[in-house]
Amino acid sequence: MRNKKLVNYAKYGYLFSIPFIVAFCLFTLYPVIYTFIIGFTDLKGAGNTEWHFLPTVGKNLFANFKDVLTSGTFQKAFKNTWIIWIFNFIPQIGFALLFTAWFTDRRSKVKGTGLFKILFYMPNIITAATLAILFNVLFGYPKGAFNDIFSGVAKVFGVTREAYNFNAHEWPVKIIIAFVQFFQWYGHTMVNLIAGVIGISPEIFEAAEIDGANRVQTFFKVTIPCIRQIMLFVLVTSLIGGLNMFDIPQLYIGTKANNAGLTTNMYIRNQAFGGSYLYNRAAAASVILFIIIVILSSILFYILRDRDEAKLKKLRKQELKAARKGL
Amino acid sequence: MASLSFQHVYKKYEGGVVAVSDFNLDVADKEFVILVGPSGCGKSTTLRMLAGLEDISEGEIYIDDRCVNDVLPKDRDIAMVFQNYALYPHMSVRDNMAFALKLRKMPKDEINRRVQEAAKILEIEHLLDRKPKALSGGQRQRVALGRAIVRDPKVFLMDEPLSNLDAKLRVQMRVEITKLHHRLKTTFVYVTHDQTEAMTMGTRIVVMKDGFIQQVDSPTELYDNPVNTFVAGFIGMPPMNFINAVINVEGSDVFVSFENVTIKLPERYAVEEVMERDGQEVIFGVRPEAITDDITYVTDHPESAFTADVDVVEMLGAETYLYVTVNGSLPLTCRVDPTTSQSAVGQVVDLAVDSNRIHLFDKDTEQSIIS
Repeated sequence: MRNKKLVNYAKYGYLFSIPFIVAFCLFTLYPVIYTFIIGFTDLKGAGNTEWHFLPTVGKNLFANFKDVLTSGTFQKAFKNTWIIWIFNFIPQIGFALLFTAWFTDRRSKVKGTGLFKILFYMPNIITAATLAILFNVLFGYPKGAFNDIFSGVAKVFGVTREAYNFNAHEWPVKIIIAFVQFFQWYGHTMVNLIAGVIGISPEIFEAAEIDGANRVQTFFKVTIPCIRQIMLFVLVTSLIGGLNMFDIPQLYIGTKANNAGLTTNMYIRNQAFGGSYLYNRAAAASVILFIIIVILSSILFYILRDRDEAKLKKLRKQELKAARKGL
Repeated sequence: MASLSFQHVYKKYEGGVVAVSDFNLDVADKEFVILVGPSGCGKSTTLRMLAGLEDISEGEIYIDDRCVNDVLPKDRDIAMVFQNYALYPHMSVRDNMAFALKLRKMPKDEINRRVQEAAKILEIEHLLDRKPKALSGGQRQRVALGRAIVRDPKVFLMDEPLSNLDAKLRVQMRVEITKLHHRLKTTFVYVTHDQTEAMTMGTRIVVMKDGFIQQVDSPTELYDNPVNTFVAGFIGMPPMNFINAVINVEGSDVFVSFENVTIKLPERYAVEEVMERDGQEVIFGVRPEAITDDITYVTDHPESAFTADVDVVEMLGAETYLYVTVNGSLPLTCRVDPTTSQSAVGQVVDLAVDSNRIHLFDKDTEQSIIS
């Protein structure tokens, strides 16, 4: 009897993925490769498209990287980026966990959680420009909401208080930017965590309840370990987003206040389009940032990897080996 | 070890849905009580109310004469085994079993002793350092049992603990749990929708339907003397045959007639409850094993014999099921002895009912006529 040839549907999958692959190659892969290449060239100047690899013009291949890494402005931007991210991420994850615990607690049965979730997520759908303008108004000088409040309170106590220029000092600028980032993203983080908790079988929480765990114990000993993968996702995406921070600090303060709000991405933008058109240096800075993100993400993935899965695979291999030996 | 008492317990949800109605039950110390019934009958809700995982709308639940309506689950001295095991995925088997004890700040030595002892009973000592992910369904089930055992609770609650296991493992674990009950000498309350589990494991069975208790009895009593058609049909596999029949009384003799078949009932049916229904329709119940094709029996009992067409024969090894049709319209199931049965598909066979093992139910109320 002749075997009927099975229809291979795999080719249709490849066919349908062609538009994505083309778009990815054109708009992601090519720019990334081009950026890597430009980092080793002398490309600079408005409208200039001609470039040469640095050794051909008598320079070290890594000269652009050296220039970036030794630049005081880049170092400051890098430091700022970390400070702003840490001051944003710690309260962000803290509040997100707190609200997650509250909204998912089956014992307290909080009413109207849907409304709260929408309200808390709302800042994430507001544009960065709107938020930047809003906070500029709030922390305006000499007239601004906070200055007005402080002056009003001071008046009550019979004290005359001069308006404080929040945007002229380094730390207030950093803290305000970090707060705006926190305000914009804590709802988003909370939704991710809630999704993770909802995925846990309710019977696990009931088992914990019967075992005698109180709410705090249940949250820290059962809930958090069960959403470890979601936590990893939140941490990595937040880290990447944080190191790529651009819109809020750019729109809120730019390079004012002695570059208090300057981030690495702003530095890259300023190198390329800030007047000097140093495309090569901007590309080198981009590559440095890319490498830092890859290394840090890899470290996080390694630290928070599913060790049980690895152990399980090892165990299964051993069992398989033993079974084969037995045969 | 504890006794339990449910007194007029109700569970009403918002929107008017009543999951459990007027549930009354006393469970003696060391009893193995099974709550059985179809999906949505309220058995799991009842167990969860006992566990403290659901609020009680009305009534009282007592554990050892202590009303536990407002007592937290952790303070009820109960342990529960869930349908999907509910093991903590990030903890090892040892930690899963020790979790409740650690929360109670028990000394480490005592925790280790209890975990080892439970692991030994359940033969999972070699699995103590594994995570639940690395266990089979049966092993997970044992760990879930172990987690309950180490607590040394007054009452064991089990919510369909064998439902996720394959048929073979289910039989094995059924035996294990029964042994465990004998060994621990503790009160067990076990929920299942599987009547085989109920019949084989329980010392007493509570049959539920639509939130109401239908009957509470020993497995034998439930099987032999069901109080209504629901219990009669729910307990037993294959289920009881129900036939619309008419009672005929001739002198002191009582007959039931259906589809041109007349069966004479034994003397014990010549009682007032039956006699007064002369000419009335009743539901005639007969279990498959009470119908036989054994030629000797059929010949010796012409007063309960009839013929039927054989539609299907299912040979199961130790027994054979005959699916027959009486008079071309009434389907019946018979469980016969494969060593003596000669019946084959397409044949017309002579059958006889063991009239000592029949049941009569009221046509309207579906309650048993003879209590």
